[in-house]
Amino acid sequence: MKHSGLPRLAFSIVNRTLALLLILAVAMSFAWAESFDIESFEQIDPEKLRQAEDRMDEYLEPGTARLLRQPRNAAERYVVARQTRLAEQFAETPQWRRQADGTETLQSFWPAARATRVAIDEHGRVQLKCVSAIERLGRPLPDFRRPQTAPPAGMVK
Amino acid sequence: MNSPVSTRTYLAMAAALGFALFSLPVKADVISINYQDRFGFGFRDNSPVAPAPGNEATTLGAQRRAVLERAVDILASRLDSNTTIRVNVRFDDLGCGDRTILGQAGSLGLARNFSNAPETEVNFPYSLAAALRGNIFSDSSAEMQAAFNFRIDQGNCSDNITGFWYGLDPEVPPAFETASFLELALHELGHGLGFQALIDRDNFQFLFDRPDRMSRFVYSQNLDRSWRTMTAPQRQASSTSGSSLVFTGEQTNLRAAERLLPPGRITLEGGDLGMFLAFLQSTQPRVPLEGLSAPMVLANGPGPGPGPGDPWHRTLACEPLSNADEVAGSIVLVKRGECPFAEKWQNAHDAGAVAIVVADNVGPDDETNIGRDSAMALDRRLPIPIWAVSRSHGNQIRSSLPLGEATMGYNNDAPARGTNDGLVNLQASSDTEGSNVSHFSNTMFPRSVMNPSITNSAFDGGIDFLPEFLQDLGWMSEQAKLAHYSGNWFNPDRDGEGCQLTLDQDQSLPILTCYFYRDGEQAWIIGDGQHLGDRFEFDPIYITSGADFGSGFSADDVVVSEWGAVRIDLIDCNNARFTMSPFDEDLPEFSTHKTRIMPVDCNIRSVNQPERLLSGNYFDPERDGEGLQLALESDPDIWALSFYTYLNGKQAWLIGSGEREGDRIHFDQMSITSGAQFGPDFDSNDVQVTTFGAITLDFSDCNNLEVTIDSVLPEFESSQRDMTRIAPRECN
Repeated sequence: MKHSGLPRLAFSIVNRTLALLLILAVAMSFAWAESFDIESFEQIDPEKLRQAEDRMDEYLEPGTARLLRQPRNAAERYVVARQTRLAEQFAETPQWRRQADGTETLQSFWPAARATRVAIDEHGRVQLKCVSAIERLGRPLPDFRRPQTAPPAGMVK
Repeated sequence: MNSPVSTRTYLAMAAALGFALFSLPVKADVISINYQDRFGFGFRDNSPVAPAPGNEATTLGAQRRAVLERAVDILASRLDSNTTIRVNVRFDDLGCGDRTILGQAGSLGLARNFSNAPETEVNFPYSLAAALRGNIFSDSSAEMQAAFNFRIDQGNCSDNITGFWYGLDPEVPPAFETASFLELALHELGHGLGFQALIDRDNFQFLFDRPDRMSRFVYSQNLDRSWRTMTAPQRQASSTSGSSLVFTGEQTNLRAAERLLPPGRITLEGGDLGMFLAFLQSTQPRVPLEGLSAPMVLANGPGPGPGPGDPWHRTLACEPLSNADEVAGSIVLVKRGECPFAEKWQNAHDAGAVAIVVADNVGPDDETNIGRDSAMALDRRLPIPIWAVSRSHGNQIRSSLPLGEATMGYNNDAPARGTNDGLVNLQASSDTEGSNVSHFSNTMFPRSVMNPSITNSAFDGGIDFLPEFLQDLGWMSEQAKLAHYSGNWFNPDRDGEGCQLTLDQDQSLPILTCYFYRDGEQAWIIGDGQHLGDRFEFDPIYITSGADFGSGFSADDVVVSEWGAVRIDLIDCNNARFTMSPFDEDLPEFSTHKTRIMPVDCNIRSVNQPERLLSGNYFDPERDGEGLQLALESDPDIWALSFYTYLNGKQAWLIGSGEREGDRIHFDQMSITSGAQFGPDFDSNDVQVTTFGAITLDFSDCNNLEVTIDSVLPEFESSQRDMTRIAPRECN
């Protein structure tokens, strides 16, 4: 049976729309995949997670998130995964691209990103301070992406 | 036969479509938000919540979105762009405990040597580069990115922070131990729009081997050099050089010059002790520039604190004061500690004090210490100023009591706080290395939303000179879309009075009418003013009297006199504070928050603004002294009309809304009111509304119309006459 022109057109539009939706859905699932995984988070006991965060420096090197010892429970594994992911993002080396019109672009978020951190002063009062986002990893360390200059004199034996 | 595509697949696709539509940028926007959270989480969290002040949303996600979109509206009201800037936003686990992060943001990339770039071989953040060149960066999903910590709202994430504050009422400060999400969002977006120094944090080389746009305006007074001309070690040294580091952008400094205040000081009768004070917070009220004089007394009340024998015994003001008779009408001195500032403030206010001075309980005496938790501790707004002094100054003042008059004023010989040689300071302290350069200095007062510390002081959406800073970097101002402020403004709690604003003469001539009451009778004032970026000022604004309605009108009868001044402090294109300052001493100065009767979208670029060709003020040149003001309320065709006229020598005004059909706008239910009072004595229950009839406007072109008045009230005759625009414009 032949379709008349109008239903066929409608069918075609529906198919194209579905295809577009599928592409969008795939694209969006990519975006979801990059963002926070609530399922993993919800499997962690909140108290144990806070404890794991409080002793983070025992098993993760501040500034690099290098593993100092193996995580001992699910909460520590969760923190390790989070901080390691963050450290990997910080360590990415972006590349400039030159476009046909002479525009040069570089995709780069972390080196200049800012973060607002909660700090408690010596009197127990809260301070909300905006700092470099790198401080999410703990104490700032030298930028290992750049060639190192000579070590400080005191370290030369 | 089964469908080849299952119902479940359709549902999934429908969900994807909904998500996609939710996320797709709207090309007319200045800033387009792409919510990246999945359904049920973050900005899409469906958990039911009670409405917050000014935020009626009843799910957590909707409340969060409402606040973020208000932040965008605030910025978009003051900025324009050649393209839509895309922002990826989401909630995330940003950590709790010692490293709790509330939020983070920044540019998603850098660009240089693009078309329309104001200088070459200079790195621009994606957002500014896209705005200037009129094209997004297709190699990136967005120009900037922001994330917020969902765990803050779960409580137990960090000591002393129980959650974000999602209120949007500019009169209601955040609850104690909450952090203003609006202030945080404004701050983070400010960074993403360009307030971030693009330097290597380790060696102070410019990131990626080129200077960044902001560095053009970063200057060391000590070295007498711009960052552009410094060596990296010089930049590093200047980044902790205190008040030497300044921002040289012209618009920022013009705004800073009129906004920032010099240090405060208290002068005791009989001698200037030279006490420079740290102000606690930037919410109202402030001590007037001419100072505030009153007797100063020591608080006396029950509660914990220093024991008998200590000179500060019973001075904490953590409970209602016992010496209210003495405190009433006085400045009250209290000791810091044991309870939040807000409780001391409240108890001083309840006892009748005209101001409160809090003496610090710990050293050191520097203002950074004195202002250490400042506005975070203020969860209310009270009509008396609250200041703080150092511990040693507090002791000196206390030992001088009892005394006569004390004056809280300003040291006008000193530079404004947060400035050096007339230029606004950037943060440059050895104590805040992670914050330096990419913020305004913490020493400025009033505080800025771009200070390194979030203090809840911008919970009302006040963004001081962030727009000017961004405009100095290269962002376009709102000048080409000023008419988005035009329309009718009112306070929902004061229904029955209001103001109407139009922008005539190619948006360069603001004209304001305000309609209100005095002793039960209608009054209206009118004037042209000026737009000053963050505000409109109408000074003077005029009041008239003497004429009659209709055929009894004679322009010769109209008596024009100066009524006073009106100032409109803008939050966004739908929210503003109106301050009316009558010259008549029998009328009080009165300030109130107003919103648009019909809110509009503030986040629209100038090229996509609705057509407001007919908006403006019209009059009959032979009847100078009466007229009408017409404003587009809601695109496409809802209009508001105020007709200001007279009856038996007294002012009268009519108001109504209508719809446009072609060249005609018909207002079928114009109303006339009466019965209420001016300012603080206004009660909307007193307002009596009477149907006046209809008014029809037939336009022959954008400057000329015929007005037809069909009155149902016998004292107002029906009539028809021609009117012309007060400030004619090009109609094409």
